[in-house]
Amino acid sequence: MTKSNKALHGAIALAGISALALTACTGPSGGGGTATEGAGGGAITYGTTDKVVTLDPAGSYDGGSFMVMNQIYPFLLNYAPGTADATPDIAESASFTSPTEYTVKLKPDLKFANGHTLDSSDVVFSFNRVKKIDDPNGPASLLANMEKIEATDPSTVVFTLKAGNDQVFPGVLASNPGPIVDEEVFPADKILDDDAIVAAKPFAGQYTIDSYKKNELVSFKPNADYQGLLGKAANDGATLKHYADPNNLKLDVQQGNIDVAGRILTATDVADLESDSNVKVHKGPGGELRYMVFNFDTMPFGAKTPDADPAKALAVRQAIAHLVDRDVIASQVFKNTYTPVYSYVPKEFEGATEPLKSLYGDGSGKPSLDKAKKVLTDAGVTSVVDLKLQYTDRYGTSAADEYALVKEQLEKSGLFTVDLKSTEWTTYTKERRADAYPVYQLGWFPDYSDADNYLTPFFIPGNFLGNHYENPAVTEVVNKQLVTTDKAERSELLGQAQEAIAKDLSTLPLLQGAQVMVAGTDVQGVEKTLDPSFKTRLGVMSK
Amino acid sequence: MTVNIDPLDAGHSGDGELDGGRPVLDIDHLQVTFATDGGPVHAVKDVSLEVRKGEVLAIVGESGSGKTVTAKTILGLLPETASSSGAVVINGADVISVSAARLRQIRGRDVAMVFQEPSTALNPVFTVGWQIAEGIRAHAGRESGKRVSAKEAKSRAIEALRKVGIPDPEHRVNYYPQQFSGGQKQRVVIAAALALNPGLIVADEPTTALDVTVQAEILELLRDLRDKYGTSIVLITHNMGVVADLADRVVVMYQGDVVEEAPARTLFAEPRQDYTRKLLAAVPHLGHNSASEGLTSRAHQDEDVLVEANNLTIEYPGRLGTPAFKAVDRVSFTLSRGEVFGLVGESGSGKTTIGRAIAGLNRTTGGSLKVLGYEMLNLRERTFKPLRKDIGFVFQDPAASFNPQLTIGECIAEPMVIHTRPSPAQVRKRVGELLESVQLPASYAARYPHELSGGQRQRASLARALSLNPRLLIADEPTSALDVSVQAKVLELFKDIQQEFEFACLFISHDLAVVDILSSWVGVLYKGRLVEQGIGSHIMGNPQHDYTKRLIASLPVPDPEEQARRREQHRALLGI
Amino acid sequence: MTTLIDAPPSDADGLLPATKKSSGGGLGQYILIRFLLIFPTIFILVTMVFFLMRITGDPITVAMGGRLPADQLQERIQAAGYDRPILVQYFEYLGQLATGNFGRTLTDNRAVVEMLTTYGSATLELSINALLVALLVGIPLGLVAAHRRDKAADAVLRVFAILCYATPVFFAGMLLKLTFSVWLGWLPVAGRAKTPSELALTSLEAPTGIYWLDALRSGNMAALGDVLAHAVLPAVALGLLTAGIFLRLVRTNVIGTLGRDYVEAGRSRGVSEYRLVTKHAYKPALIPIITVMGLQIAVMLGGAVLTEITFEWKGLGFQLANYLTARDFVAVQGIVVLLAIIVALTNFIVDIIAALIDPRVRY
Repeated sequence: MTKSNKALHGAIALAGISALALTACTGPSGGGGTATEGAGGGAITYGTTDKVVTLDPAGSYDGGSFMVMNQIYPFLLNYAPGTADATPDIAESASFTSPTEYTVKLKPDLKFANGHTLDSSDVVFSFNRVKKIDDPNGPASLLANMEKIEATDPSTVVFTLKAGNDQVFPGVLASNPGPIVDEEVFPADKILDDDAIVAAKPFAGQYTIDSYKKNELVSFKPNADYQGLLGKAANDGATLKHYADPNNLKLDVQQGNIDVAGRILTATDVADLESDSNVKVHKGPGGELRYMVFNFDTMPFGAKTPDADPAKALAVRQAIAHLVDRDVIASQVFKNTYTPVYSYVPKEFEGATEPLKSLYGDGSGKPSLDKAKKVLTDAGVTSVVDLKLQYTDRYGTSAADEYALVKEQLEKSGLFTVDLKSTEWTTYTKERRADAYPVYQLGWFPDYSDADNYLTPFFIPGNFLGNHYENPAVTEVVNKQLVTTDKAERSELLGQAQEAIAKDLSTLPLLQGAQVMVAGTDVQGVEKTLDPSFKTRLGVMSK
Repeated sequence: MTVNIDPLDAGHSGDGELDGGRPVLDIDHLQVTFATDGGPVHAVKDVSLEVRKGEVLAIVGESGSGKTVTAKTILGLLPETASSSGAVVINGADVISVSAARLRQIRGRDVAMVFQEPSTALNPVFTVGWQIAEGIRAHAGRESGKRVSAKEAKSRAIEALRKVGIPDPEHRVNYYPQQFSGGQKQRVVIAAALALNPGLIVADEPTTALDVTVQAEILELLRDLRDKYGTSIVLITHNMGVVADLADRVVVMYQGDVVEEAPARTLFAEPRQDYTRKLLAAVPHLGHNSASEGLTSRAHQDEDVLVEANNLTIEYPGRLGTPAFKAVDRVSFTLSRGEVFGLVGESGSGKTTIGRAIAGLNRTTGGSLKVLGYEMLNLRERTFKPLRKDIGFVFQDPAASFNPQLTIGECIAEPMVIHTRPSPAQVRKRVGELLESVQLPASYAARYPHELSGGQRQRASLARALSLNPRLLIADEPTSALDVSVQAKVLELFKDIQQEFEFACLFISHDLAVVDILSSWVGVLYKGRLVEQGIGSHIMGNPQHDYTKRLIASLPVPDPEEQARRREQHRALLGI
Repeated sequence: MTTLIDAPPSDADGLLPATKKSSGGGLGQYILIRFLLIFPTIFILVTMVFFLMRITGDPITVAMGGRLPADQLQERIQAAGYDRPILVQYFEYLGQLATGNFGRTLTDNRAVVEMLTTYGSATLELSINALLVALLVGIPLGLVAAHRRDKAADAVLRVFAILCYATPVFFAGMLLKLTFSVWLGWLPVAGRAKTPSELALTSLEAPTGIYWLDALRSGNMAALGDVLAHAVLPAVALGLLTAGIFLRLVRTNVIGTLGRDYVEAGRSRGVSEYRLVTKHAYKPALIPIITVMGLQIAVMLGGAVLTEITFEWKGLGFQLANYLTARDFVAVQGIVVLLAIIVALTNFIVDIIAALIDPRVRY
């Protein structure tokens, strides 16, 4: 630090002299801003490798954009730091007033940073807009269960749902389609340009945007008018700095150029940073899931193979589940930035169980060769199983090591020979759907914080996996939990669903990502935002 | 500083005493040695000579004679690797021993130089006026302590340009060198040399790079300078015609030594030394030794025609935005078996283009050209290729046409290997025969091109061209890079071989005298047009076309008296 | 074969040869044709990029392929129009281009023109800095090598030149970064400025986007120093490549011109050695640098992609790489077209400048 300061001062002095000479020639020029000392005084700088698609909630469905939206837009429901329970944000109350009607009452005297009032009409506008625009990159699909939305008075809106008692709906309101926008600023039928958004200041969240340079630098100022759940920001302002290269992000946080680094991707970097006394590594639960998918048609003994046999196919899946050693992968490949997962729902969610731990391996999470041998022999699989295993570059460079280890673990048993291949992402998605890969890698980031987000998209008919898995019993129980209002009862149903899927093994979850942030030792509050809501809240950080 | 003034030797001087007898230049026992990787090379062994005011002294010799080194020594322009002893005294200063600063003063003011290649002696990125003025100002500032203003320097540059006959010098002083033609460029170089009125000009092959008609003008200009301004000139040349035309006195050099020194007329009339006699004998003399001596009709009229051009036209596409350039314009001729057709023309006349077109190296664009019965218009390489073995080609620069990586034997064998795939033993035998026929020892097959002299390389080149017993040989300026004595031998050889093998030959040259020695039938090209063709001796003796007349009149003959007569006779024709 | 036309003897001293006279008009025509050739060049590039991008995948599959069911994904692709025949999309795109509509980027929803101006200024700044490094390093060292020909200094410099242009840009970048930023800590790791300066500079009225210029205009000396400190390593990493080429070129040219007859001719007129070197040898030797500079622009833009990624320099190259991975056709096409225009135009301009200052081209 001191060294670089010295060098910098030298450079400044040198530059200053030449600059003086130059300005002396050109004379004063307009627009001279006084030096803005942004950092210090309680403002924090947050660096990330995520990107913003757009600040318009109707046009994005990605973490990078949503992170910024979370700072600047209000939500009807949101998560208090440390929890994953959707509770009213700018709403006063929100509840099912009938099985298909979800009524939200707003707090009084809400307004946007530009002075426009925020009332039920803005709320209706915001949700209708997302559905109407239905942008290819947008989150409209999350509102599939919303039949309509109406304002019954300036402070009350009523959502009419297609399926009643949708337990996920509050979570949806806190997710991508949820930000409330200013109907006087946003057009109803098309996406608004970021610069236009920033200029019009339609912000009513914890922060407003002070200056905006897309995907480079965003500067946030606390919004004094915000009356929501998150409360007053703990800092005087925040700056978001975008990085492309995780290595640069890492170096900058180490050198103190930024206060907090979020989304540091490589495990080795994190391990490296853990031994650096200048920074502190904060870890929290992560919603990311790394898993293997079995294509029920083309996997060994699958329905479309010459020697189709559902029992043998199941035995193969089970044998694999008996053999994988998640601990080894997590520690060797990911330096424990990912942790073993023994369920379809990460353990931080209400209703999560760990059926894979008891069903497979030695019962404590370690592999069991004997059980793998037995399950295959019992099913009549006598020869070594040839397995074609595919992975992609999409989920980080560690995937290569991860799957090399899976291959090694399977082959070491003598039960499998594994043909491991990697494919570039665009081709991968196409070929995957075309049943080209019998067993393959995928990853998942949740859309909203609810256990259902790990079940419905995966295991009911018409799911995005398209791996030809269908179990009516599973479908029934998954659909049932979705509309069960009683929490305990719903947890029970979620448990049943996980247990049933674990027996079928449509997919085999391996690891769950931890949320990792690296911060200077003088930064406080980082751990508060590392909760199962998976929302990054700049407002809790300070120094 | 050693000032060595020779006692006057009246018999030594052609024109007697001038300027109180003190020579403008006095070289006394000059020795120049170059340090090379292969040990010291004595380029100039022992040279003494002097030049008087208003005298033109020619130093003649072949390559390696030391004439150019001697010339450079006069201006102290030798490279660092050279060491010299003796004295070179100009206006009382010995350029060998003076300081660098003093030497700079001498250069340009007391002695100036005219170079062989005017297009490289002028810097292309500065105007000629700038370059002339630069020399003027370089001296004015340093010596008189008085600076010459840019304006004054320019007006003096204009004056110098006017002196050398550049029309409209006020305007052209601002031109860049490349805006001038070759002859004009040489005038500019001379103007730069004259800018400070030096008493002595060293002209190193001043006309060698020029066409013969332009050469005549430059020689006239140099003569004028001597006559009008009393400028002394040291003329370095290998061209005996030029010597005969301009020199008052001649120094013949051979391998770093002065072989003979005599007034020009005496030297040409009664050469005393063997070497001088041989040298003079080797010089082609227009009208002597003509191949067509005594012929009255074409020897090979239309029997077994191998090449027939009929309104042959060859255009080069222009660069972007410029019109196509017609290099050959409606040319018609025939060439029969056993005949040598001499094609004469100056640079840009299209002679080389025709030669290359016959060999299939250039595309024709109009008219008809039949080579060995094959129509070359819209030539297809695939169908023409079988004919290639019947066509031999000898290039001007044998150094460039040999692959330096291959031995002479491999080079000679190359066409054979391509066309007939012989066994190694056959190749060896044939290469031996060929080398013998061009009078080279068979052992030369194992040598590399750079190990051979220019003349030897050109013989090897001839051997290669003959390797497949071609029916047609195209020789493009085969001797113009060679010294006269070597040229004479190669021409002799060429003549013998042609008579022995009876191939048809297109002999291309800018040198009328050389063409006349070899060719019975001669064509004269001028700006792409074949302006005249006929029996060699008829054309040389009785040219019809104005251009041919001028061409012949321009060619200096190696005989001062005859040349003086010719010069007077043709003065009107040459426009001088 | 070069066919020189000399003036006919009768008017050797008369007017200029006819062919030379027309070359003035020829130059004008040459310029015009060179200019017109820019358009087909760009057209071909646009076409190539269009088809290459479209056959390798669409942005929606890239973004959503791991999370949406096949039918929903197809719906989105349909909505965006990417399922239509590729030729239809191609002509539609050409139509847009013809009307000057470059569209909006698909993955981050911004007007392409605005995106280009934003990132273009960063790349421009980097290129200017790199060119300065190339000139300030390459030319003086080239002159030194030429004058110390075959001596130790020359040998060292020649090796240096080879290292300069044989070292891949990204490797040079990493090496510089590791040495000066990570190990020694003298210079910043990445980016174009520290956050406070960047904030100050981007909030200016009508910023040029060239940070040092903006810092100078606003008189923000602290920011200027910061910007310059950030500029050093990327400029050196990118500039060294060209510096190596300049070094070799200057060396060869100066050795060539020092040995030319006109230098000796000048010497024979009594011109001083200093003047011979600085005027007669340098000027003709350095003019080709201008032409090579034009060619180097293309090399530099290529290198800029790698340098910008290494140093997190948010310019066109940096963005190009991002958009390529996201299969954002519109953005990639926009950047490539702009780069093509820049390369074509700079070469065009450089040729004209060379023609104007080099009499060898002009006459």
